[in-house]
Amino acid sequence: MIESKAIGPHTVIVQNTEPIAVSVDESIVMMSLKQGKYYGLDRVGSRIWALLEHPRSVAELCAQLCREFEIDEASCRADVHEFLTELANEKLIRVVDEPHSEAGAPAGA
Amino acid sequence: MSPRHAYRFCGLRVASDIALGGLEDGATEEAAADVTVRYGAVPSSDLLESGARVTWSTEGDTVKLAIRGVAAFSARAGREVVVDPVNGARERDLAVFVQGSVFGAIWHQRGMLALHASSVQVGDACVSFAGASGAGKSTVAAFLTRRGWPLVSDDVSVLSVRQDGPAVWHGPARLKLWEDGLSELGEHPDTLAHAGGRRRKFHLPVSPPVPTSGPVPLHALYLIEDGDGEPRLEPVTGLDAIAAIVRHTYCPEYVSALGLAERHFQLCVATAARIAVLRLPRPRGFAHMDRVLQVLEADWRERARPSG
Repeated sequence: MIESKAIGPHTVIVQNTEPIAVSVDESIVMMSLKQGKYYGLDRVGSRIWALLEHPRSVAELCAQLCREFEIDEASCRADVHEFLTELANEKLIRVVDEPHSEAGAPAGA
Repeated sequence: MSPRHAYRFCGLRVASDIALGGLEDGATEEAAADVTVRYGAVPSSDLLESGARVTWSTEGDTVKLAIRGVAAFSARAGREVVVDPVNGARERDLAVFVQGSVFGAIWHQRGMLALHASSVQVGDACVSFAGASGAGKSTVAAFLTRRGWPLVSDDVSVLSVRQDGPAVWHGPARLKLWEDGLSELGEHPDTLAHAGGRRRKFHLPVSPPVPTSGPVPLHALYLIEDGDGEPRLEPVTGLDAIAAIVRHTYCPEYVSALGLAERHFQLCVATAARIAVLRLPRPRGFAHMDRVLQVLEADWRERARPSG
Protein backbone atom coordinates (compact mmCIF):
# COMPACT_ATOMS: atom_id res chain seq x y z
CA MET A 1 0.00 0.00 0.00
CA ILE A 2 2.74 2.46 0.94
CA GLU A 3 5.05 1.29 -1.81
CA SER A 4 2.50 1.79 -4.54
CA LYS A 5 2.10 5.45 -3.74
CA ALA A 6 4.25 7.95 -5.59
CA ILE A 7 5.24 10.97 -3.55
CA GLY A 8 3.74 14.19 -4.90
CA PRO A 9 3.49 17.73 -3.51
CA HIS A 10 0.26 16.97 -1.71
CA THR A 11 1.32 13.65 -0.26
CA VAL A 12 1.20 13.78 3.51
CA ILE A 13 4.11 12.10 5.21
CA VAL A 14 5.13 11.29 8.75
CA GLN A 15 8.03 9.53 10.52
CA ASN A 16 7.64 5.83 10.87
CA THR A 17 7.69 4.75 14.47
CA GLU A 18 10.19 1.95 14.06
CA PRO A 19 13.59 3.53 13.47
CA ILE A 20 15.32 4.75 16.60
CA ALA A 21 16.68 8.22 16.00
CA VAL A 22 19.02 10.20 18.21
CA SER A 23 20.57 13.57 17.57
CA VAL A 24 24.30 14.15 17.73
CA ASP A 25 25.36 17.78 17.52
CA GLU A 26 23.17 19.05 14.68
CA SER A 27 22.64 15.79 12.87
CA ILE A 28 20.54 12.70 13.40
CA VAL A 29 21.67 9.09 13.48
CA MET A 30 19.10 6.35 13.03
CA MET A 31 18.98 2.64 13.57
CA SER A 32 16.34 0.41 12.02
CA LEU A 33 16.21 -2.95 13.72
CA LYS A 34 13.73 -4.22 11.14
CA GLN A 35 15.98 -3.27 8.25
CA GLY A 36 19.14 -4.04 10.20
CA LYS A 37 20.59 -0.77 8.96
CA TYR A 38 22.02 2.49 10.21
CA TYR A 39 21.53 5.92 8.71
CA GLY A 40 23.22 9.24 9.21
CA LEU A 41 21.42 12.41 8.14
CA ASP A 42 23.11 15.71 7.32
CA ARG A 43 21.92 19.06 8.67
CA VAL A 44 19.07 19.55 6.20
CA GLY A 45 18.11 15.89 6.28
CA SER A 46 17.99 16.04 10.06
CA ARG A 47 15.73 19.09 9.92
CA ILE A 48 13.41 17.30 7.50
CA TRP A 49 13.28 14.32 9.85
CA ALA A 50 12.44 16.57 12.79
CA LEU A 51 9.68 18.32 10.81
CA LEU A 52 8.16 14.95 9.98
CA GLU A 53 7.51 14.19 13.62
CA HIS A 54 3.99 15.34 12.76
CA PRO A 55 2.28 14.64 9.43
CA ARG A 56 3.04 17.26 6.77
CA SER A 57 2.53 17.54 3.06
CA VAL A 58 5.57 17.70 0.81
CA ALA A 59 4.58 21.21 -0.24
CA GLU A 60 4.41 22.37 3.38
CA LEU A 61 7.73 20.78 4.09
CA CYS A 62 9.38 22.54 1.14
CA ALA A 63 7.90 25.88 2.08
CA GLN A 64 9.27 25.52 5.60
CA LEU A 65 12.72 24.49 4.37
CA CYS A 66 12.88 27.39 1.93
CA ARG A 67 12.21 29.79 4.82
CA GLU A 68 14.89 28.22 6.99
CA PHE A 69 17.69 27.45 4.55
CA GLU A 70 17.75 29.98 1.68
CA ILE A 71 17.27 27.39 -1.03
CA ASP A 72 15.28 28.15 -4.15
CA GLU A 73 11.99 26.40 -4.33
CA ALA A 74 12.56 24.41 -7.51
CA SER A 75 15.76 22.71 -6.36
CA CYS A 76 14.32 22.28 -2.87
CA ARG A 77 11.38 20.37 -4.28
CA ALA A 78 13.61 18.18 -6.40
CA ASP A 79 16.00 17.41 -3.52
CA VAL A 80 13.23 16.84 -1.02
CA HIS A 81 11.41 14.52 -3.40
CA GLU A 82 14.54 12.44 -3.89
CA PHE A 83 15.29 12.37 -0.17
CA LEU A 84 11.74 11.40 0.82
CA THR A 85 11.67 8.66 -1.79
CA GLU A 86 14.83 7.21 -0.25
CA LEU A 87 13.37 7.42 3.24
CA ALA A 88 10.16 5.77 2.04
CA ASN A 89 12.11 2.98 0.31
CA GLU A 90 13.87 2.30 3.58
CA LYS A 91 10.49 2.43 5.37
CA LEU A 92 11.72 5.20 7.63
CA ILE A 93 8.68 7.34 6.78
CA ARG A 94 5.17 6.46 5.79
CA VAL A 95 2.51 8.09 3.69
CA VAL A 96 -0.62 8.98 5.61
CA ASP A 97 -3.85 9.39 3.73
CA GLU A 98 -5.40 12.20 5.64
CA PRO A 99 -3.90 15.64 6.07
CA HIS A 100 -2.89 16.43 9.64
CA SER A 101 -6.34 17.20 10.95
CA GLU A 102 -6.59 14.42 13.48
CA ALA A 103 -7.07 15.25 17.13
CA GLY A 104 -3.93 15.56 19.15
CA ALA A 105 -1.71 16.98 16.43
CA PRO A 106 -0.53 20.26 17.90
CA ALA A 107 -1.25 23.20 15.68
CA GLY A 108 1.83 25.15 14.68
CA ALA A 109 4.08 23.44 17.25
CA MET B 1 17.83 -10.55 58.14
CA SER B 2 20.71 -8.57 56.77
CA PRO B 3 22.50 -9.83 53.66
CA ARG B 4 25.50 -12.03 54.25
CA HIS B 5 27.80 -10.42 51.69
CA ALA B 6 28.71 -6.98 50.40
CA TYR B 7 30.58 -6.32 47.17
CA ARG B 8 31.66 -3.79 44.65
CA PHE B 9 30.63 -5.28 41.33
CA CYS B 10 31.25 -3.28 38.15
CA GLY B 11 30.76 0.04 39.88
CA LEU B 12 27.73 -1.00 41.92
CA ARG B 13 27.53 -1.64 45.65
CA VAL B 14 25.82 -4.98 46.00
CA ALA B 15 24.36 -6.44 49.20
CA SER B 16 23.82 -10.14 48.56
CA ASP B 17 22.48 -13.27 50.22
CA ILE B 18 24.50 -15.23 47.65
CA ALA B 19 28.30 -15.44 47.61
CA LEU B 20 29.43 -13.88 44.34
CA GLY B 21 32.60 -14.94 42.58
CA GLY B 22 35.90 -13.12 42.07
CA LEU B 23 34.96 -10.19 44.29
CA GLU B 24 36.21 -9.07 47.65
CA ASP B 25 33.61 -9.36 50.39
CA GLY B 26 33.55 -5.94 52.04
CA ALA B 27 31.49 -4.37 54.75
CA THR B 28 28.97 -2.24 52.93
CA GLU B 29 25.97 -1.09 54.92
CA GLU B 30 22.83 -2.48 53.37
CA ALA B 31 21.32 0.97 53.33
CA ALA B 32 24.14 2.13 51.07
CA ALA B 33 23.76 -0.69 48.54
CA ASP B 34 22.82 0.15 44.94
CA VAL B 35 21.52 -3.37 44.33
CA THR B 36 20.28 -6.04 46.73
CA VAL B 37 20.32 -9.73 45.89
CA ARG B 38 18.07 -11.89 48.04
CA TYR B 39 16.34 -15.24 48.10
CA GLY B 40 12.60 -15.10 47.53
CA ALA B 41 9.73 -16.35 45.45
CA VAL B 42 9.76 -15.60 41.72
CA PRO B 43 6.53 -16.80 40.12
CA SER B 44 7.80 -18.37 36.93
CA SER B 45 5.44 -21.18 35.98
CA ASP B 46 4.67 -19.26 32.76
CA LEU B 47 8.36 -19.29 31.83
CA LEU B 48 9.07 -22.89 32.75
CA GLU B 49 6.15 -24.19 30.70
CA SER B 50 8.01 -23.55 27.48
CA GLY B 51 10.45 -26.35 28.33
CA ALA B 52 13.45 -24.40 27.04
CA ARG B 53 16.60 -24.32 29.17
CA VAL B 54 16.62 -20.55 29.36
CA THR B 55 13.46 -18.45 29.17
CA TRP B 56 12.80 -14.85 30.04
CA SER B 57 10.10 -12.21 29.95
CA THR B 58 9.64 -8.60 30.95
CA GLU B 59 6.83 -6.95 32.82
CA GLY B 60 7.09 -3.21 33.34
CA ASP B 61 10.54 -2.50 34.75
CA THR B 62 11.18 -6.13 35.71
CA VAL B 63 13.03 -8.86 33.84
CA LYS B 64 12.23 -12.44 34.81
CA LEU B 65 14.64 -15.19 33.86
CA ALA B 66 14.25 -18.93 34.38
CA ILE B 67 17.10 -21.41 34.01
CA ARG B 68 15.79 -24.96 34.01
CA GLY B 69 17.28 -27.01 36.83
CA VAL B 70 18.88 -23.96 38.47
CA ALA B 71 16.59 -21.10 39.47
CA ALA B 72 14.17 -18.39 38.52
CA PHE B 73 15.47 -14.84 38.87
CA SER B 74 13.95 -11.40 38.73
CA ALA B 75 15.73 -8.08 38.25
CA ARG B 76 13.68 -5.00 39.02
CA ALA B 77 14.31 -1.33 38.32
CA GLY B 78 18.08 -1.71 38.42
CA ARG B 79 17.95 -2.19 42.19
CA GLU B 80 16.55 -5.51 43.28
CA VAL B 81 17.42 -9.09 42.37
CA VAL B 82 15.36 -11.99 43.69
CA VAL B 83 16.62 -15.56 43.38
CA ASP B 84 14.26 -18.53 43.60
CA PRO B 85 16.45 -21.66 43.37
CA VAL B 86 15.27 -25.17 42.55
CA ASN B 87 15.92 -27.80 45.21
CA GLY B 88 19.57 -28.72 45.36
CA ALA B 89 20.83 -25.83 43.24
CA ARG B 90 24.42 -24.94 44.08
CA GLU B 91 25.17 -21.44 45.26
CA ARG B 92 28.10 -21.23 42.87
CA ASP B 93 25.82 -21.87 39.87
CA LEU B 94 23.36 -19.28 41.12
CA ALA B 95 26.21 -16.75 41.31
CA VAL B 96 27.21 -17.46 37.71
CA PHE B 97 23.77 -16.46 36.44
CA VAL B 98 23.37 -13.56 38.85
CA GLN B 99 26.71 -12.11 37.74
CA GLY B 100 25.82 -12.76 34.10
CA SER B 101 22.36 -12.42 32.57
CA VAL B 102 20.67 -11.14 35.74
CA PHE B 103 23.02 -8.20 36.17
CA GLY B 104 22.83 -7.88 32.37
CA ALA B 105 19.28 -6.69 33.02
CA ILE B 106 20.27 -4.53 35.99
CA TRP B 107 22.89 -2.64 33.95
CA HIS B 108 20.40 -1.87 31.17
CA GLN B 109 17.82 -0.78 33.72
CA ARG B 110 20.32 1.60 35.31
CA GLY B 111 21.33 3.18 31.97
CA MET B 112 24.82 1.68 32.00
CA LEU B 113 26.29 0.27 28.79
CA ALA B 114 27.45 -3.33 29.19
CA LEU B 115 29.60 -4.65 26.36
CA HIS B 116 30.44 -8.27 25.72
CA ALA B 117 34.13 -7.41 25.87
CA SER B 118 37.24 -7.76 28.01
CA SER B 119 39.22 -4.68 29.01
CA VAL B 120 42.78 -3.97 30.11
CA GLN B 121 44.31 -0.78 31.43
CA VAL B 122 46.79 1.13 29.28
CA GLY B 123 48.26 4.15 31.02
CA ASP B 124 45.47 6.16 32.60
CA ALA B 125 42.88 4.71 30.22
CA CYS B 126 41.71 1.32 29.07
CA VAL B 127 40.96 -0.56 25.87
CA SER B 128 38.32 -3.24 25.25
CA PHE B 129 38.29 -6.39 23.14
CA ALA B 130 35.10 -7.70 21.62
CA GLY B 131 34.47 -10.50 19.19
CA ALA B 132 32.19 -13.34 18.35
CA SER B 133 31.83 -16.00 21.03
CA GLY B 134 35.10 -17.91 21.14
CA ALA B 135 37.00 -15.26 19.20
CA GLY B 136 39.51 -14.91 21.99
CA LYS B 137 38.58 -11.83 24.01
CA SER B 138 39.64 -13.38 27.29
CA THR B 139 42.67 -15.06 25.79
CA VAL B 140 44.03 -11.80 24.43
CA ALA B 141 43.29 -10.15 27.77
CA ALA B 142 45.07 -13.00 29.59
CA PHE B 143 48.24 -12.68 27.51
CA LEU B 144 48.17 -8.91 27.97
CA THR B 145 47.89 -9.19 31.76
CA ARG B 146 50.89 -11.53 31.64
CA ARG B 147 52.80 -8.73 29.93
CA GLY B 148 51.91 -6.33 32.69
CA TRP B 149 48.76 -4.61 31.39
CA PRO B 150 46.32 -4.76 34.33
CA LEU B 151 42.95 -6.38 33.82
CA VAL B 152 39.98 -4.03 34.17
CA SER B 153 37.19 -6.48 33.35
CA ASP B 154 36.88 -9.85 31.65
CA ASP B 155 34.13 -11.04 29.30
CA VAL B 156 31.73 -8.24 30.16
CA SER B 157 32.81 -4.61 30.45
CA VAL B 158 30.33 -2.26 32.08
CA LEU B 159 30.53 1.39 31.09
CA SER B 160 29.17 4.57 32.46
CA VAL B 161 28.77 7.03 29.62
CA ARG B 162 29.24 10.54 30.95
CA GLN B 163 29.78 14.02 29.61
CA ASP B 164 33.55 13.49 29.62
CA GLY B 165 33.26 10.18 27.78
CA PRO B 166 32.70 6.48 28.38
CA ALA B 167 34.56 4.69 31.17
CA VAL B 168 34.77 1.05 32.24
CA TRP B 169 34.19 -0.12 35.82
CA HIS B 170 36.45 -2.74 37.34
CA GLY B 171 35.01 -6.26 37.18
CA PRO B 172 36.00 -9.35 39.14
CA ALA B 173 39.76 -9.98 39.28
CA ARG B 174 39.71 -13.13 37.20
CA LEU B 175 39.75 -14.37 33.62
CA LYS B 176 37.43 -17.00 32.18
CA LEU B 177 39.48 -19.29 29.97
CA TRP B 178 39.29 -22.55 28.08
CA GLU B 179 41.65 -25.35 29.04
CA ASP B 180 43.90 -24.85 26.02
CA GLY B 181 44.36 -21.16 26.75
CA LEU B 182 45.29 -22.01 30.34
CA SER B 183 47.94 -24.52 29.36
CA GLU B 184 49.40 -22.03 26.89
CA LEU B 185 49.76 -19.67 29.84
CA GLY B 186 51.36 -22.41 31.93
CA GLU B 187 48.32 -22.88 34.17
CA HIS B 188 46.53 -26.11 34.98
CA PRO B 189 42.72 -26.43 35.25
CA ASP B 190 42.95 -28.74 38.29
CA THR B 191 44.25 -25.89 40.42
CA LEU B 192 41.48 -23.48 39.34
CA ALA B 193 37.78 -22.96 39.94
CA HIS B 194 35.40 -24.19 37.27
CA ALA B 195 33.56 -21.22 35.75
CA GLY B 196 30.15 -22.88 36.17
CA GLY B 197 27.75 -24.14 33.58
CA ARG B 198 28.50 -27.14 31.42
CA ARG B 199 31.52 -25.94 29.56
CA ARG B 200 35.18 -26.64 30.22
CA LYS B 201 35.92 -23.07 31.20
CA PHE B 202 37.89 -22.08 34.25
CA HIS B 203 38.54 -18.97 36.27
CA LEU B 204 42.13 -17.80 36.40
CA PRO B 205 42.59 -15.31 39.23
CA VAL B 206 44.62 -12.18 38.46
CA SER B 207 46.01 -9.60 40.83
CA PRO B 208 43.21 -7.36 42.02
CA PRO B 209 43.21 -3.86 40.58
CA VAL B 210 44.79 -0.96 42.35
CA PRO B 211 41.78 0.55 44.10
CA THR B 212 40.51 3.55 42.21
CA SER B 213 37.62 5.76 43.00
CA GLY B 214 36.00 5.54 39.63
CA PRO B 215 35.80 3.86 36.24
CA VAL B 216 38.68 3.88 33.76
CA PRO B 217 38.23 6.05 30.65
CA LEU B 218 37.79 3.91 27.53
CA HIS B 219 39.93 4.92 24.55
CA ALA B 220 39.53 2.10 22.07
CA LEU B 221 37.45 -0.94 21.20
CA TYR B 222 39.16 -3.71 19.21
CA LEU B 223 37.01 -6.16 17.27
CA ILE B 224 38.79 -9.51 17.18
CA GLU B 225 38.03 -11.37 13.94
CA ASP B 226 39.31 -14.31 11.99
CA GLY B 227 41.55 -13.23 9.15
CA ASP B 228 44.35 -14.33 6.89
CA GLY B 229 47.87 -13.03 6.87
CA GLU B 230 49.50 -10.83 9.44
CA PRO B 231 47.42 -9.52 12.34
CA ARG B 232 46.61 -5.89 11.58
CA LEU B 233 44.38 -3.01 12.64
CA GLU B 234 41.71 -1.47 10.43
CA PRO B 235 39.87 1.61 11.69
CA VAL B 236 36.08 1.45 11.78
CA THR B 237 34.35 4.83 11.64
CA GLY B 238 31.00 6.57 11.48
CA LEU B 239 27.88 4.44 11.40
CA ASP B 240 29.94 1.23 11.32
CA ALA B 241 31.55 2.14 14.64
CA ILE B 242 28.12 2.75 16.18
CA ALA B 243 26.85 -0.54 14.73
CA ALA B 244 29.81 -2.41 16.25
CA ILE B 245 29.02 -1.08 19.71
CA VAL B 246 25.34 -1.98 19.33
CA ARG B 247 26.29 -5.45 18.11
CA HIS B 248 28.59 -6.16 21.04
CA THR B 249 26.13 -5.05 23.69
CA TYR B 250 25.67 -7.63 26.46
CA CYS B 251 22.16 -9.10 26.84
CA PRO B 252 20.75 -7.04 23.95
CA GLU B 253 17.44 -8.91 24.05
CA TYR B 254 16.31 -7.02 27.14
CA VAL B 255 16.80 -3.58 25.58
CA SER B 256 13.68 -3.33 23.42
CA ALA B 257 11.58 -5.41 25.81
CA LEU B 258 12.30 -2.90 28.59
CA GLY B 259 11.50 0.02 26.29
CA LEU B 260 15.09 1.23 26.49
CA ALA B 261 16.00 1.06 22.80
CA GLU B 262 16.36 4.79 22.31
CA ARG B 263 18.37 5.33 25.49
CA HIS B 264 20.64 2.42 24.63
CA PHE B 265 21.20 3.69 21.10
CA GLN B 266 22.08 7.10 22.53
CA LEU B 267 24.72 5.49 24.75
CA CYS B 268 26.19 3.64 21.75
CA VAL B 269 26.28 6.78 19.61
CA ALA B 270 27.85 8.83 22.42
CA THR B 271 30.45 6.12 23.01
CA ALA B 272 31.31 5.80 19.32
CA ALA B 273 31.89 9.55 19.20
CA ARG B 274 34.56 9.34 21.91
CA ILE B 275 36.55 6.17 21.25
CA ALA B 276 38.55 4.58 18.44
CA VAL B 277 36.99 1.42 17.02
CA LEU B 278 39.36 -0.92 15.17
CA ARG B 279 38.97 -4.30 13.55
CA LEU B 280 41.71 -6.74 14.46
CA PRO B 281 41.76 -9.54 11.88
CA ARG B 282 44.21 -12.25 12.80
CA PRO B 283 44.75 -15.95 12.09
CA ARG B 284 43.48 -18.26 14.80
CA GLY B 285 45.91 -20.08 17.05
CA PHE B 286 48.35 -19.27 19.81
CA ALA B 287 51.26 -19.27 17.35
CA HIS B 288 50.13 -15.82 16.18
CA MET B 289 49.53 -14.36 19.63
CA ASP B 290 52.92 -12.65 19.85
CA ARG B 291 52.24 -10.76 16.63
CA VAL B 292 48.79 -9.75 17.87
CA LEU B 293 50.31 -8.35 21.06
CA GLN B 294 53.00 -6.51 19.10
CA VAL B 295 50.41 -4.89 16.84
CA LEU B 296 48.38 -3.77 19.86
CA GLU B 297 51.32 -2.45 21.83
CA ALA B 298 52.58 -0.55 18.78
CA ASP B 299 49.12 1.02 18.47
CA TRP B 300 49.17 2.11 22.12
CA ARG B 301 52.62 3.64 21.78
CA GLU B 302 51.27 5.75 18.95
CA ARG B 303 48.00 6.64 20.64
CA ALA B 304 48.88 7.24 24.23
CA ARG B 305 51.29 9.69 25.72
CA PRO B 306 54.00 7.69 27.39
CA SER B 307 53.25 7.74 31.10
CA GLY B 308 55.96 8.28 33.67
